[in-house]
Amino acid sequence: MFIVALLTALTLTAAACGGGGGEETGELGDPERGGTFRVEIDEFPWEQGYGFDPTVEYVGDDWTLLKTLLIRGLTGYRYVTAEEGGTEAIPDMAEGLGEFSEDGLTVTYKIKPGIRFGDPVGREITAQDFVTSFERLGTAELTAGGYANYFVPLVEGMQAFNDGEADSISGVTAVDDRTVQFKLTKPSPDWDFRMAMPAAAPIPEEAATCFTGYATYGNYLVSSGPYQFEGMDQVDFSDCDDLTPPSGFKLEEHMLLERNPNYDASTDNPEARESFPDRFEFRKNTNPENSYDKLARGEIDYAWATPPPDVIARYSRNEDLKKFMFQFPDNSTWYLTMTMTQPPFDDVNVRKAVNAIMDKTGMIQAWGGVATGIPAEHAVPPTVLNALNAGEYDPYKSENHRGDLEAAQAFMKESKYDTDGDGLCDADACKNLTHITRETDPFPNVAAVVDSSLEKIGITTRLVEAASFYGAAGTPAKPVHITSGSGWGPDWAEPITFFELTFLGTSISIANNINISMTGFTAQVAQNLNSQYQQQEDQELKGLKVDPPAAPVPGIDDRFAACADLEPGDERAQCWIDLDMFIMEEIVPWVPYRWGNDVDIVGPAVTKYEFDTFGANIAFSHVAVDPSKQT
Amino acid sequence: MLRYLIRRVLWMILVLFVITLITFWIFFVLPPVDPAVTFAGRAPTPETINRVREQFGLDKPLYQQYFHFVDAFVTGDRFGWPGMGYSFASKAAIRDSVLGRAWITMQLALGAAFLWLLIGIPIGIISALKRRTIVDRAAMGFALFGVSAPVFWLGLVGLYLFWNKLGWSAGTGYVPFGDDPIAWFRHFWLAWVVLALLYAAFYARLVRGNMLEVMSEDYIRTARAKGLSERRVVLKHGLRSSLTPVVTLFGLDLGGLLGGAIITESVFNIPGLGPYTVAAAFRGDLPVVLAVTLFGAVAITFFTLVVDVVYAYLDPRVRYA
Amino acid sequence: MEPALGRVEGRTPGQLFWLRLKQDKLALVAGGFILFLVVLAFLAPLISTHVAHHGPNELFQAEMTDEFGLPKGPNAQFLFGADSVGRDVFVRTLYGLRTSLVVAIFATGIAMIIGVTLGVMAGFFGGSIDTFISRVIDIVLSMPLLLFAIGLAAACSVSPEGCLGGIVKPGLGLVIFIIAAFSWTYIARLIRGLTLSLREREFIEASRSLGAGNIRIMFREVLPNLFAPIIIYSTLIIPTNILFEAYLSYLGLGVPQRIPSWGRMISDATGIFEVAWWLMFFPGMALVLTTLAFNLLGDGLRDALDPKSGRGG
Repeated sequence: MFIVALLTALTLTAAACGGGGGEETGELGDPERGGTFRVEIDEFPWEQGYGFDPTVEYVGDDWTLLKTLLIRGLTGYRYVTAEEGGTEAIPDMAEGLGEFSEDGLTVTYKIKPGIRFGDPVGREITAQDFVTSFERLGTAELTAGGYANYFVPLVEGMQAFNDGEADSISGVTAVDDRTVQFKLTKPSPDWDFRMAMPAAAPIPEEAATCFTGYATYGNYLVSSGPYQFEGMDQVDFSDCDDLTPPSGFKLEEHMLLERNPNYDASTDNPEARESFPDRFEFRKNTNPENSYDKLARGEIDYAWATPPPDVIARYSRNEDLKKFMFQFPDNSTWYLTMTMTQPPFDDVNVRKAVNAIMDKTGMIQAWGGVATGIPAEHAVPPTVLNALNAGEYDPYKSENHRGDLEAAQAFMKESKYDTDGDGLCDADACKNLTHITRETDPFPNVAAVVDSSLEKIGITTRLVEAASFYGAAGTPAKPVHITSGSGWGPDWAEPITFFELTFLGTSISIANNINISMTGFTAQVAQNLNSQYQQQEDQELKGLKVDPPAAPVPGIDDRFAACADLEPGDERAQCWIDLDMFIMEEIVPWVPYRWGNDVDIVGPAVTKYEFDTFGANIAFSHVAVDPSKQT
Repeated sequence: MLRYLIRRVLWMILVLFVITLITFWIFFVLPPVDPAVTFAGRAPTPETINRVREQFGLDKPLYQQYFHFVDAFVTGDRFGWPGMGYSFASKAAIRDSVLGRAWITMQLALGAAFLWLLIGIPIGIISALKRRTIVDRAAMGFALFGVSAPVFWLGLVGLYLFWNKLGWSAGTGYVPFGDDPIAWFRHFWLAWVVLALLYAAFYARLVRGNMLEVMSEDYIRTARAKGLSERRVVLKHGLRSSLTPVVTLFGLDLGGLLGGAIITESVFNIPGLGPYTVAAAFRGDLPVVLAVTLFGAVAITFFTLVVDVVYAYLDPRVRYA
Repeated sequence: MEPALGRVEGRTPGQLFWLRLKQDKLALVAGGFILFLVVLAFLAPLISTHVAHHGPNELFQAEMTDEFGLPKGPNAQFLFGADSVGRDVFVRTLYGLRTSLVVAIFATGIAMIIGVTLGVMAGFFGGSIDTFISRVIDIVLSMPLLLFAIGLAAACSVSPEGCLGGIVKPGLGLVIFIIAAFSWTYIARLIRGLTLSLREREFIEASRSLGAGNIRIMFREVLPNLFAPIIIYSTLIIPTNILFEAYLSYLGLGVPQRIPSWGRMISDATGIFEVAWWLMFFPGMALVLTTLAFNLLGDGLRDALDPKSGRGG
């Protein structure tokens, strides 16, 4: 009995520690309050276009910054690993998780007293502040981003507000100063997860009135969390035309955080936020290798990037350095897409052959070595499915994940594109396929491995290293054959978010399309797309056409709906598992090749490290530094 | 003189006009991808794309966008003067970024320029005077190396040697002079040297070539025959004519450099115009690119104008060209 | 070196040119080296098959990269070591020579054609044609070139069709186009100046008085006299263009990976050259030596043409 318990404990710990450095919570010393935590990054995540505005922000790294340091919502997370409970939604500003009515259509939250905004607003946060943030979410001009999908169809009256037919949202009410109530159009058991997203955090009306432009609020974000931008006390929202940004947040140069003087730690949960450092500094370094040199010397405390292979090698091999490196699965799958409307990928046998031949180990080596991830065997990572761990289900098995030529050839022989039955793709349709990848490291190297594998079964490509990946690959009217620049992670810890935008026919969009493989593409979808193209005012997009599918393209829309309707529980979990397997064996739109690891290296002055599985990043709410060790 | 000046200024305005048009064409017309799409997020609805387009002002006809851009630049916008709008990507006001970064790039460029003139010209002169000796060979060897080695390689090797190993340089980054003059210098000197090396080599070769040509001209022989000392001959007569083409080139080079010593700034993490603009161009952040291009073009044409005016003042024949 | 006194022979300018060139040992060595490089470039496929037994895009990850994705250094099968995906650096350096030569020669060639044409027209016809062309040159010189290069490259590498209706496709063609577009101005200015001075010479007047038309004069009288400077300045521009391609690669705008290029290899090496010195050293050396050789040859040619500006030797 004891042995069984011991073995179980060992297996659990082995699964939890990603290898490399310390324990789950990296205790590197005695964490104490004080000091400045200094971070360098080569490009700020908010420079991708969302301006750090919580109503629009969609970049995972910004979610980490927002929720661990700057804003609190009704619910949140513990910002720890999955094993330690990092995937569970917990109350943050609310006294408890949402109280659902019998029919599941009404959700109520009571806000804890004593939680205040930071400078310059300063007052206690009330239920009305959630109405404000939802009104922003429902305003067409302000949410030109992905959030609309998550809330607008679900909240009563939000669609009408969005269309301009109502001037308030009937489904969001401040019952009193401390009670918020939501009325939904249909039951949503994952509502607490949605409330944990940064967009659902409270926004003070005093500030919101000034920001009527898309993605403009971020520079002036009013804190509801433990830290705020330096210089916020100088910002004056009373004159909207005469605003100057706080000195601590220069969008292209730095973000400097100081403690929010109105933050009361007793209203917060130390499992979620410990807030050791007094200050945080986020600065740019256009020479990323140089960041790691500075890190080693103690000039900074964290380099926010994937460490280059030589740095990983150095830290792995050195006993004294090992403890400063951490790696944890980041719940992502990186994959190739094969566009199923384009020959030769309209033949499932060819797609299976590509899965069988792909040298996934080689691709991971090209990515930066074994520390950066493990070969993916199916579409949804085991950490998201909570099942099908590595080795348990690999429909296109090969030795050491290097690819299996015989198996690939066997698949190819079943295909009409193998005209002479030799197991190689020899029809004209197999040659000179368009292969799109990103032009930033490590994608060109990964693409080289892909091309090398494809050549073994007779497929040749023309590789384009695109400056804008979705510009090159995401327009269905301009289809490509194969892409190798895609990765996907869940928006919250439930498999549903792994299927919606990636595999549904109804999710295919006219531009920046995620469902590049065109899974579920039907004549109806084609018709919708074409009418949307007509609606476009721009010359580039207007008048583009998608041809309706020549042959039926397999889809999962019905199966997805069936799983999504189930109540949370074992049956639903199994439904998702079955869907993943169905996709891998029957639809075959992807070649998943990597389940990613987040590799973090911290400096010698850091005394505490924690991994946040929600943002798949270092947990800024749990780190600590020892100023005496800083350079 | 005044008429010459007016003509040159009018010409400068025309040049700027043409450059902005070309910039507009390359960055707004040419790309087959709509910037509104780039910044509309993932899987956007058609309404979203249309709305973002409106926000960016891209729904207006091209000529209107162009005039709006020029008008804002010349008369200013809500962020100040000159009006450069805001970045599509970061939503930051471009003007503050551009002016701040231009100032930093200027420090890099001027420091390097000072160095390369200081090194390059004397080496060129000495080589010319002592032609075919060891000194000449060594100097030209150095010069050849300077124009053959890529700047980023020099920078990286320099950092490795002088920062990582020897600690003589404070490494990458920028510290304002006002904050700490010593740190300011210790951060800049290596970048100055690396940047200057390339130009110094080029200028040394140029000066040497010009000097040799000039030294064999008739009027030099006359001066010697008159009994003037070699030193006088060189400095008073030879140098002036050798240096005139150098001055022209210098004007162009400095102006060009002020557009951003892109590679040096990336390698040394100097927050100048270079990496800022490169990132914007890659991302499709059109207003930034437009603003920086115009700014750079103004710098170049202004310097050329200054140089030309100085010439015209010194040599009246030029005015009637 | 003065020729020995003795028989005094009359020599044509052409003969004098060769005589002076032959005496410039360094230039001869450089010229020989360049010839050697050209031969090497032609033989690249043969060498890679029979000497190295590896292709330029064949991956040998299992043998030559470790579990961290770091490559291994020079050994018996891989003379210059391997790169991050296990490709043979020796073979890629060899093929990179082809790329550099092709890019430099084509880009320079195109720049030359444009520059000479416009320069001759400006210098020969003078007047408003000259004004117009000179102004165009001024404008191009005032443009922030690298920025435009980035814009062009970014715009044209979005899709495989490229831009401008498919004329400029991403990859080698785009790089050549960019380099050519930005280096013709120097030639044009030079040629214009030379043409201007030629125009005043007597033999042009003579030809004209015999009734020769403009075209005939340009081709028969002017161009042959420009031959030498054209060759010389091409030789001097080639190394600049080779470096330009390296800079474009460093910024991520160079040729795609399938086409080995020294610039790209060096820029890829910047992250790990401290542990993988061979990745930076061999292509770097090749780049420096090649540009050096072209510079030396160009200098030698120029000195041989006009001994007053001699380097000596």
